[in-house]
Amino acid sequence: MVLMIMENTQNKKIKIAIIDYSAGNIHSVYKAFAKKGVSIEIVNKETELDVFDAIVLPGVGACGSAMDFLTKVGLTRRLNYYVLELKKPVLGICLGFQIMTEFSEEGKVKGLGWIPVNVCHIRNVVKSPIRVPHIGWNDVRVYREGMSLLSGMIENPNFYFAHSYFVPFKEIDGNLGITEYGTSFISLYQSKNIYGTQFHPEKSYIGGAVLIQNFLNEVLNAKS
Amino acid sequence: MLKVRVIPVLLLRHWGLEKTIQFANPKYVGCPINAARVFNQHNVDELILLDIVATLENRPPEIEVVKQISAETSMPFTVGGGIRDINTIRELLNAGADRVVLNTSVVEIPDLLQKSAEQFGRQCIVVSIDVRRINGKYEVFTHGGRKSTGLNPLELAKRAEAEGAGEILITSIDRDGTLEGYDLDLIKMVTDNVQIPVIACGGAGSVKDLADAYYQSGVSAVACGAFFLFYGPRRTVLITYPTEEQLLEYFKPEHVRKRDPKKPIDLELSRL
Repeated sequence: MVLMIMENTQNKKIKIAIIDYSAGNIHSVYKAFAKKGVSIEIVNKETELDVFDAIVLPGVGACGSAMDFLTKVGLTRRLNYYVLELKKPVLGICLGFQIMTEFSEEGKVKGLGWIPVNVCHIRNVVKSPIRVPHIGWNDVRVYREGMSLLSGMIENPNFYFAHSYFVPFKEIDGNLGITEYGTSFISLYQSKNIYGTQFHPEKSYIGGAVLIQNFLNEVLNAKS
Repeated sequence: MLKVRVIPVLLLRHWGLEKTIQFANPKYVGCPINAARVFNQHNVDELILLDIVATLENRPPEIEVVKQISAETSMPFTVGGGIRDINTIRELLNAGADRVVLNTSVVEIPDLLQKSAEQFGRQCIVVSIDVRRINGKYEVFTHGGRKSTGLNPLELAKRAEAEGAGEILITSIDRDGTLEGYDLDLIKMVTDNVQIPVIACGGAGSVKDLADAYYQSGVSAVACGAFFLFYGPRRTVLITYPTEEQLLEYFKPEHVRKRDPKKPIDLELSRL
């Protein structure tokens, strides 16, 4: 309890930007961070990003339109500088995670290229008869130890997924969380300052709230 | 492994929460926002909210109800009733809904389903099909079960899948509120013939009914209203939801979501 109050006080020092691709609902992600006491700015046009302690790429809309939007308003360049040069923390959720990769089959678009993987339609990878979209609660298994985003949680915690595209498992650097749906796919990614989740922590009750706090702890570490 | 989703369905009339039997005799049950808050505390897998008179009154669900439920909960929820255009879908998603349910409009407005799936992604769009058995044959009804369409549920389900539905919610009107168990023949007819997930609804009265539907008909999710809203033979209003242990009596462990309520952050959540 005391620990929690301390955490919340610390959170007040954090200023994050949530990127709005103008595709709709960022309400849930906003709410999840607002509950933590951090200060939040919604960014939907070219803005100086250096002032933020972290950036969140939420999970709404389609890959193609999100990338088009970022490029059109001039945010792609700003985001690249923020993440690759300043090396400040970024968290991508669902679609936000997918646009951090090199390429997505959804709309056949180039992503931001920060994570060396591709996004595929589940049906193009899994040949067994599974139902797509993948909707519901599934296990996230740690592939390599040292996943701070899952610290304090039960083993193989369950999170809420809703998606038709995914990142098939591939041996890459960083800490990975793996989920099974017809095949293994990357559901959680953490490498240096780059964090991504295929699932929706903002819709996953306590587990999701813990994950978001773990991310904020990383942000605090990076800040000090 | 993907878990079974056990989904309470809340029937709305504007700001009120109701429950029907065979889509008739609506009984006032209480306030939907309170109910959603309680279900959130029960750690439910997901919630479905349907305004059962919205289509008849030619209006969408109350946006303010959706906003308040979103503010009170941290779970996925789906909203439907009277949705007839893309703008309404956008408003509902902006208000915090994760997904929307289309029913009458799938039959009446030819390109709405396809356009909404393109705009918001397939996983956002649930197509609900209400079915009555007439002289031994299944038939789709729209307008809250009031209007006969002459359509076969399987044909409509396949069409919905082809046009971009992310999931089918199949409801037996005959079983609604009866607690007699799901119409497994009806459900299986759909699950056997589509490759998108299917939610069964109508008739569940026990955890065994949920498991029977899951293991015998291949649904991805099981939804129910009366079973989670009423208690005992007098149908006293009392919200319940099966615990992990109760589900494990009938479901295999790998199919039951691991809830994680024992963390210190629990306190923070209960402050919602």
